[in-house]
Amino acid sequence: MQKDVKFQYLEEISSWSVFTKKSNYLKRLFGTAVGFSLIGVGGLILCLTLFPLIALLNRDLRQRHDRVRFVIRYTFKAYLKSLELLGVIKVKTSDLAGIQDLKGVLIICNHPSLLDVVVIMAHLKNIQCIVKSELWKNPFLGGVVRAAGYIRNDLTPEQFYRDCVEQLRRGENIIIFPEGTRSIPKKPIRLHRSLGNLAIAAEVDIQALTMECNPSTLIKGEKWYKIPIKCPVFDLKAGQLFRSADYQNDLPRSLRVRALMRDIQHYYNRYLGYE
Amino acid sequence: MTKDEVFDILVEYLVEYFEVPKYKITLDAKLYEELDLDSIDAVDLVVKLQELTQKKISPTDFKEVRSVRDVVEKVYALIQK
Repeated sequence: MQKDVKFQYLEEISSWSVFTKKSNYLKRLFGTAVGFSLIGVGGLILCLTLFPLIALLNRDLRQRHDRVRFVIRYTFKAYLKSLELLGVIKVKTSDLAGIQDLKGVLIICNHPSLLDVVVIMAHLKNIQCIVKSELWKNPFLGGVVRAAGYIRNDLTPEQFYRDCVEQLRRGENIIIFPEGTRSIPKKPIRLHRSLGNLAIAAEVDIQALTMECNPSTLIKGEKWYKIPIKCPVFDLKAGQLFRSADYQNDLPRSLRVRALMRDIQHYYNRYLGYE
Repeated sequence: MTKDEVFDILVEYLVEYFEVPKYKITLDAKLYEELDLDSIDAVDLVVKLQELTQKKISPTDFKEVRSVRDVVEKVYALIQK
């Protein structure tokens, strides 16, 4: 008899914990839906209100872009805060103070999730990004990327290079995900050499960042409602600075670019525990 | 220079300048997909081949080049001119 009571108690506990787990899951699912709508709606609202105002008040194109990017940074900060309040994600950063004054460098990061770029742009100043041409025509976000004067990825290689160098010389930092797409979970990282080509040709340094996202979420090809069992924690850290001067020697260009990319790839794979 | 000799020199370039493993280089190997060259490497390669042939190679000409065989044919044709 007594045994039965105990069992019943245990059953109650477990069904209660299932219930809290379920409700926590539903809460995060709801939060995720809100989060996804926010970014589209928010983008559209900014394009209809604040950005035209900025354009009106700042005739100088450079100043206009700077102000728009300032607004984007704080919008992203607020966006992450609301996702945290909705219980969808947690964001941690460390060692970023030391790299806030960087000017004219390429900033790179591994790419576990769709939100990486939002986390990075919310926490670092003077960030320029390279934007997919499809986004340029997106009804919600097209206005934002155009107003911010970001770099398009569908230019001719020469024009693309000129645009990047112009931005870097002006002191902007360009964020690049050198894998070219989101990381594949549990697979060593493979990098595109175009990052090295740009860094060596423009003679600019590369600041590495590392992003951890645990458990993984919003990976490539995953539907938005496939949320993880636990609230994912994003952890952004400043990593190594790769100086392009260290790779400017008498060797042919092709070998210097390969050496640089090999070092960066080793760095990430060591960090992520694949080497 | 025979086609075989052009091939040998090309193998030397690919190994030395582009770190391509020698065993991967066959006549049918694709430069971009299999030998991991990129478009800027291709420009470097054109420069090297110009040194070899002492003839101007237009980059647009080289755009159609896909395989090691294509490069050998192109260079061989240039030398014959």
